Amino acid sequence: MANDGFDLAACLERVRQRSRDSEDAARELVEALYPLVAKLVHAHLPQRDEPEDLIQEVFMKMFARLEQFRGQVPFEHWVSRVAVSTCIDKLRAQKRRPTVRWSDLSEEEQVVIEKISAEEIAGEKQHETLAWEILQKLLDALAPAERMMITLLELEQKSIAEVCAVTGWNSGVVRIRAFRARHKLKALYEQLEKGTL
Amino acid sequence: VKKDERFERFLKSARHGRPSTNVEAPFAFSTRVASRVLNADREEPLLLWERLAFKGLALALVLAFAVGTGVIRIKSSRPSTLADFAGLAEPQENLW
Repeated sequence: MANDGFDLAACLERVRQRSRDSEDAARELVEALYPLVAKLVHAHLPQRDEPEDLIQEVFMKMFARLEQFRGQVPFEHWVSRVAVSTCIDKLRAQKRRPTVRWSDLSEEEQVVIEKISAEEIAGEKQHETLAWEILQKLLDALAPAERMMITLLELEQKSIAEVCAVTGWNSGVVRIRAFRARHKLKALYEQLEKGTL
Repeated sequence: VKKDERFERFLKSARHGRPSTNVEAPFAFSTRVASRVLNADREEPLLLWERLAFKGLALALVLAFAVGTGVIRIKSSRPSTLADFAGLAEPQENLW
């Protein structure tokens, strides 16, 4: 938790009691969990989308389902799962692009792909930012759960156990989804790379 | 192998190119969410009442329509008592 000295259990109890200071407790809970939720939403939402509405939706869902929290997992993990499922729902509702073609890339992005192919890219910030933008375009063509896998495992470099904790999926499901996602992404990248030939 | 290496290089570059995310809540965000949560709680019984009231209204309209059409049908099948009283109704055949 971001705030030192924040008593999560007591705060949850105050929210649940629906007493006079429930609003204060709810506010404190949102403030304490905001960095966690914002980080997840920023990481999994397409770049073009505004994250604030979705962050608010995650919190509304969290409060609506608060009675379902049984304390079997840490509260932060439970909230992460709510955030992840909300992001996946949002991504499902959006239309996926079938694929990204060489002609869809800007001139600068094409240069980055060429440099990566020719092993000429060496820690240039501008090129790395462009590579990240290209990756976002490729991720738009993946299924929401696959996109989630690439973001968590490849970009955030989380372990399988951490991904299981955040998503609530078992390790077998995570491994299979990760394998498929990586395979698809690689195929998309190779297709894009053909434009350099 | 070369393909794998190129793909790995691409992923590595993309990883390093991730923009830093601002994880500070916008002004009054927590207050807005907290008040929405509590208002939603207060509104819940009212919404339930509203939903029931609308259903009740629909049922009442259906009943009123059924009763109304029933009454009209009965009235049209026999002369009204007022017309009988005023002697305006068709005289019935003398059975004697």
